[in-house]
Amino acid sequence: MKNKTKTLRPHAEDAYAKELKALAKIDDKPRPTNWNLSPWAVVNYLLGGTMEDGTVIEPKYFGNRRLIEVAVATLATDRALLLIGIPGTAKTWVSEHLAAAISGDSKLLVQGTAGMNEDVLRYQWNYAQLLSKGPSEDAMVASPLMKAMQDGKIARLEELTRIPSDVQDTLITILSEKILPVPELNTEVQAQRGFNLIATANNRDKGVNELSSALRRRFNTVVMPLPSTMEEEINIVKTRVDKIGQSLELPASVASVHEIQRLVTIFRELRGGKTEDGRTKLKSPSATLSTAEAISVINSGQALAAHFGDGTLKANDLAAGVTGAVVKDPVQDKVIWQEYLETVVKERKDWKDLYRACKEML
Amino acid sequence: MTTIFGIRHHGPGSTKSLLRALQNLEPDCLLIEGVKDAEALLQHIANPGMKPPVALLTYNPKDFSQAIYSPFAEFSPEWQAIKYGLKKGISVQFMDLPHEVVLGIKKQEAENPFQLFGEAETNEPKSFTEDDKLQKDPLGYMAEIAGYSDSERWWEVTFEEQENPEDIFPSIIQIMRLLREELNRPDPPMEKRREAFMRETMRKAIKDGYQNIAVICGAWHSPVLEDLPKYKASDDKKILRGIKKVKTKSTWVPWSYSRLSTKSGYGAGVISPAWYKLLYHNREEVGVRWMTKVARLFREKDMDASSAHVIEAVRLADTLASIRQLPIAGIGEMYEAATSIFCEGHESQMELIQNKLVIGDVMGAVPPEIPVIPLQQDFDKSVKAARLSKERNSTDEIIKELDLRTESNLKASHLLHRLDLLGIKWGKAKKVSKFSKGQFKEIWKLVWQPDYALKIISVSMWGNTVYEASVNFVKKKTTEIENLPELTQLVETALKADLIDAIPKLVKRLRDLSAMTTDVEKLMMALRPLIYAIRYGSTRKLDVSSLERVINEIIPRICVLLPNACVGVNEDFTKELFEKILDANHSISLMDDEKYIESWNKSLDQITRLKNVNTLLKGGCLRMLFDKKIITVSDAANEMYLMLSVGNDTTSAANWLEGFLHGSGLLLIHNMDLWNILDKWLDEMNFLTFQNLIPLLRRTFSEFSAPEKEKMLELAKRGQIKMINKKEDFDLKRGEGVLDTVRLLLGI
Repeated sequence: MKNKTKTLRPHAEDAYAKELKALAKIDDKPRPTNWNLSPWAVVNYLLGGTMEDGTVIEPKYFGNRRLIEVAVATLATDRALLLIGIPGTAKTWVSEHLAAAISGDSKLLVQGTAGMNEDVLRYQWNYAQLLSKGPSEDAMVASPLMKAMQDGKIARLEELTRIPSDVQDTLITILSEKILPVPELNTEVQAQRGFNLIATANNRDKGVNELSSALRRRFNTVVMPLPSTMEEEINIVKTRVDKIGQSLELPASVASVHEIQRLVTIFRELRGGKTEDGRTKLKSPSATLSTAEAISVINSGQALAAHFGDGTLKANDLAAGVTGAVVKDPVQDKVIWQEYLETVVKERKDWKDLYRACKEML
Repeated sequence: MTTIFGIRHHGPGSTKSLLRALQNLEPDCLLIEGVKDAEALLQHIANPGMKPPVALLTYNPKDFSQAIYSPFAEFSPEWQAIKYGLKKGISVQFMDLPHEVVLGIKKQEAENPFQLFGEAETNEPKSFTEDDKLQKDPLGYMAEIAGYSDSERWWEVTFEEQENPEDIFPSIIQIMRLLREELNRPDPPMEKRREAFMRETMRKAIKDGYQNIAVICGAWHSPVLEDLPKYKASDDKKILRGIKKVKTKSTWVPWSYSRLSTKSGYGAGVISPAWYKLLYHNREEVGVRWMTKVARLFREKDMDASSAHVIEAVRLADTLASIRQLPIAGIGEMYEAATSIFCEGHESQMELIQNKLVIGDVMGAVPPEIPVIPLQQDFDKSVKAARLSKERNSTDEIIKELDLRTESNLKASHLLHRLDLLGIKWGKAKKVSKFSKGQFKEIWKLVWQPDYALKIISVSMWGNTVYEASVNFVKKKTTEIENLPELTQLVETALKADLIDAIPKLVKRLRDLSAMTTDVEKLMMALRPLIYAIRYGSTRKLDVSSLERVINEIIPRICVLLPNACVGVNEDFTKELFEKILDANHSISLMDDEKYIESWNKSLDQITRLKNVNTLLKGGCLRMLFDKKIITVSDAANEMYLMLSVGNDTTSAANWLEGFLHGSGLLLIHNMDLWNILDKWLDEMNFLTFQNLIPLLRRTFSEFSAPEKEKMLELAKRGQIKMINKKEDFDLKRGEGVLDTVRLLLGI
């Protein structure tokens, strides 16, 4: 990508504009109204591959093809899509790319928070206008959701279960009747074809607002799993680390597969509660230790190595990140981490450097 | 004229096309790929009592492992074709190589491994490794070319899921011809023989004067049968010449969808019989019906599933199919859509209904008129008498509780035990609980497998009724067993199965074996089943007097042998031995017979006195005696003090403690003498010794329950406890004053 922008993180539709264009060109399958690509092309955009004309599409999602197919098929019907999984399983990532591929616009995003009210989902008012001219369409400030309905695009809603239940219920009318009533003006906004919603939710947090069964019924749920095999996870970490490294303009330092492998092993072992060989039982810390976290640990390690070290990622550079990722609860997790260091890391032959580096951190 | 119809076994699509084609063709003779020896049984298909899935079972009456099943479902092309033929009253024949010949070849090959039969295979390489897969699944090759991961799916999409006009058959022959040329693989010799035999049958049918012959065979064979004129009759005859037949018998047996779903016997296995059934009967609305079934099954499991769910799921499946560029949604799309809509993405929930949904719980039936062997008849009768017909006709796993006091349940118990002995594991007995075995209740887990039909035939060599067969079987086994515990197990089962006629022989063998056995452990292991049999025999209406005689001999033997057997036993073995002694102690106490108990106690006492006996056993035996009040508290305390004194090494002291306290900390809590001795022992120990002992002590104390441990902790906190001198402090007169009130309260 030649035209380097100054943006820290370009939107998916900008970063992968070339791929999207190439796909649109060769895509001869029927497209639903207002879709930029056919469902078939969307699936290929996410999973990557080499097209018939030689265009190489980078894979955005590593893992089960079936999941993505079900997700895309859902969006092509009129049910909304709910991606659910523990933090760091690429829910937001997939939703962004789906929106980019289908509508060419991943910006219609509402971040769900515990303190939000209905207006954030529906529309707000420009109060100066409202006061001077009274309620009119000009005085309305449309929410991303409303915009998506008007333009027939995909809207995104992050952290659906963080939103209070009464606010969640606003979605029911939008999703089943496909209208957004505006009682103040005695009108309504009718959704155009192509409108749909991708919501994400994580099932790890306690105290979330469970969806009512009425709302749940409007969604098709896709459960995003953690990578099933070691190789798959290493592959994900490696690809993403390289990518992020480029966009953060880190001095070129190739994270060695060896380090990635060690890190992924640690994460998988602690997460799964036993060592990879299945012989030793381990305690699991409260941290989720997702693949996304592994990626960020490697990234920060790389930054350390590039700016303060000799440019190659070493055990010392990783130690701080790993410790931070594992020890979320200063008392409980620390004990677990220490136990793991003493019983597992110490015993492994070529892990001595990592053991010493981590010990120093504690 | 001869017309070849290449079909896929059990493919509902080819069934429909085939039937239409037959109606147009109106043939006067049907030749069907099925083993020739079973041809006589074809007529039964018209019987209204015949309910598919059923299978033709062809077996060698001298060796039941040599059997094949040819299953038919109602959607199988062969089945529908035969029905059509029988209805029209035309000649219907099987044309595949008879099983008699197949077995004959196998037998000859086994006898003369180096002699090859038939000229055709002289250049045959002996082993296939590389194209082994190709040979098993030639259609997989075609599917792979078409970009499908499995051949079933490819066939489904290409031929079965679309409504094909009947003229697909010439094109199937064409495809197969190309495939066979392309592969150019050497045909396995057996396949050559089969195809030669098929052609011979065709020639014979033509010679017999049939004008319009329809040949129905697996698609793979279709080209070589169409090319009939290209093959010389003499060549085919040569291939088949000189084979000695092995006599076979055939019968119809009920089959089930779950059996049909695995690869078994004849032709292709089916991934989802329930799906095929639906495709056959309701091709137009297969998706809607499938999803409705999903919803209904989930409702049975008390999960929410509304009609709106069904609608959404059907639409999602259709959309998925179009993304995958398939003409209609297949079972894979259905499954994934259902997972997403009904289960919110959690596949584990789908597993709840998996069996009923994908495989289906259909069980076939065979009318009683079909000739069966006497044992089978007796079995059917016994099932009826035991009121197990419902369980016999279901494919589900059923838990059945039997109350042995009722006549029919007792019969059921006898039958299940007999079948179990004969190796027909229809029912699995669940343990009620360790010590209530043999009482009135029995719990069985019943799962009927269709291939038990063969097992029944195969055990018919033992007798013509279930009872007779199991008696003979047990008698034979009796002479073979050399090991006492195994024999007592057999006695126990034989008693439960009520095999009275086998008992005398068993008991005699039991006495012989126990007399020769010097291994006291084996004697002890044999003891429990025997004692249980006697003790609970009356519930089962057994005559157990002969067993009592055996026990009369065994117990004294154990008592004599045991003390010496305890000497010089190594550590690992000690634990096992201890368990067995505990077990024997329990069994003998159950006997409640003074003379046994006395000699047993004597032998226990001896163990505690012997030298070189592991202290675990010593402690354990002392405890058993203590429990029976043979030794007094003060004796026990003395012994404990002795064993735990400084002179003994710490390991043996800890072992002794473990043995003495096994299973119960209550003794410690309530017996202050003992507690104080232990307390003092610990107190006087130096730190290093204590450290060495801790693991052993932990082992003992970990077996106690949590409240027991808590109580001990409390005691330990209080320090040394002085015994209250009960007699001196107690004023009887003052005490009696309370009694009146107590009586009033208790209402005595």
